[in-house]
Amino acid sequence: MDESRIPADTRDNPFPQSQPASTALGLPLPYAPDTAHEAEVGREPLVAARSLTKRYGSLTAVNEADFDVYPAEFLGFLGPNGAGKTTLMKMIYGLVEPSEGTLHVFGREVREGARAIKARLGVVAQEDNLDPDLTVWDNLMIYARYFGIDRAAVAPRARELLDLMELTPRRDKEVNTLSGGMRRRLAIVRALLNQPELVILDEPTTGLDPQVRHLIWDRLLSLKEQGITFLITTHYMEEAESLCDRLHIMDEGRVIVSGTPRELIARHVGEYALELLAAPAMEQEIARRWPELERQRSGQRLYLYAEDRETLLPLIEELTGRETRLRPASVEDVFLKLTGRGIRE
Amino acid sequence: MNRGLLAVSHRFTSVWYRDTYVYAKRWKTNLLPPLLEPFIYLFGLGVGVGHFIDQIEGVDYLAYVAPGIVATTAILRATFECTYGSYFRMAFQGTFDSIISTPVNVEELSLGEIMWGATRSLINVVTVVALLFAIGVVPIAWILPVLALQFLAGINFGAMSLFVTSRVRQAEYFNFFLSGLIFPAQFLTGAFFPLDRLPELVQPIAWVIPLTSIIDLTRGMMLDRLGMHSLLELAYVLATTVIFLEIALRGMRRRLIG
Repeated sequence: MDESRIPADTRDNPFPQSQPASTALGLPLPYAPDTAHEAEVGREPLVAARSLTKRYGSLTAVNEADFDVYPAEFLGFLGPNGAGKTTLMKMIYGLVEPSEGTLHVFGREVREGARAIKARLGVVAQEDNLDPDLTVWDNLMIYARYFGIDRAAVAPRARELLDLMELTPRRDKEVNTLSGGMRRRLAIVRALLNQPELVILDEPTTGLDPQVRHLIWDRLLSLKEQGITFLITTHYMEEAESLCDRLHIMDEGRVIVSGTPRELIARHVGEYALELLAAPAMEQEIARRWPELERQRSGQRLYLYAEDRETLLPLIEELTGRETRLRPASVEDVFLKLTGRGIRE
Repeated sequence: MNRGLLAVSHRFTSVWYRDTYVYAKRWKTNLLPPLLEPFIYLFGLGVGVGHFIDQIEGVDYLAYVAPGIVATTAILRATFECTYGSYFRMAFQGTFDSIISTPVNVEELSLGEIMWGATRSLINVVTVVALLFAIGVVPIAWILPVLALQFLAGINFGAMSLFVTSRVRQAEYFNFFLSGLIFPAQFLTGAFFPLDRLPELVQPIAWVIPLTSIIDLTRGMMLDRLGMHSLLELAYVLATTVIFLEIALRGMRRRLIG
């Protein structure tokens, strides 16, 4: 990242928060704090979902989801298509009403406090919904007005954010002339105008080239340093691993596991993975001789997992001449193990 | 939690501002084409058809038909804006979803759209009324009341249209509403000829359409023929406006919140 492109005052404190997010909470929460995450004990969550459920007729999009989002963390929701991630996000910002369960944001039940909640939220929706009738600058000015912030008050912040996202040269361009990457960055700028305490990003880098993705990740992490809490959904494991402090993996509407990326890898697959092409007969042979190894198959490919390299080395020797690949296990391994390798559509 | 009109705060003005701002950016292309239409009607009916009509209800045909053209201009603009215009912003641009992700709620968004539709009507009506004033068809004292009434007419039809918008799944369905209801309704409402030319059975139906009352009120102002019946008509227009607003706001909530 080229630090010199960010104005000095932005580097120091680009997004002054009037107060730390945690003290902005109102009344005590009407539920016991989630003690599953030891580091978080004693901190009130910004978002707390309990048995949160959304049904559309016979379809259950979100099924008794339980989770918390703590101040200043970067939390990721991973899941295959149709897992309920977007529905979950939309319940937080009020576009979808829960069918059952409770959802508190900033200590308020979403059905009661929608307006107050949204005043403190930033939202980057999955679909591009920038205003195509307006220029880049007017998009920001008009959007700020929805928050009751007038032009003069928001202009300095809008300029800083455009700088941060390297959009300043496009300021007066019509939105329709921007590339996909610029539009996404503008959507992020727009979501930050109201100095949100919590920013929801629904698949923020889908379809973008690697350069833009890295720029966005970099800027998001710098914003996190300022104390902003992020909630992100993504299909990209690399994105989840590089951005997120904690992950919730969803499948079929449920949050099936939660933890830091390292915890999840250690808990569900082990530290190392060995990939090889192997016919079923060979898999049986391996299973017989190394029954302790966790195995997974995807088509022709066999994945073997272990806590350390040494466990896998004899196997590699045995397989000399075959194409094998030994690598550290990743969140993708956890994801595929837990949600299966079948295609979801 | 409040629903419908009770859920509205001043924040609806930010949506109205957005639409007005976009219109003002391209005012030349936005203003001129739709303006030609009422002028062509005025010329075609007033001068062309009027040539064959001596007097109608005691006045020149131009003076008779002018209030009809003013009122139909008002309702048509608002109807277009709150059907195709709003639907486009809602379904293809994602504008509505982005707005209701902010502190602006669905009801305020909807009212902002309706008020914009009425404003756009008013812009066109002002130019038509200015021309009518220049040729001596509108008395100066009644200009402001006539404009205020057309703004109300814009809200009435804008709200009705936004309710329809909240129910349609494809823009093509607007053809039923516009070609099937709104356009033919103009001929039932006394815009171009007196209601007593309609079959007696149809006349009560004509009075159900708020446009009939709006036209009779506009004509009453422009020809100085207001009476007790005018108060009833105004009450009917106001009542239907409130009802349409309420169902439009509730319909949009059903549509936009999952």
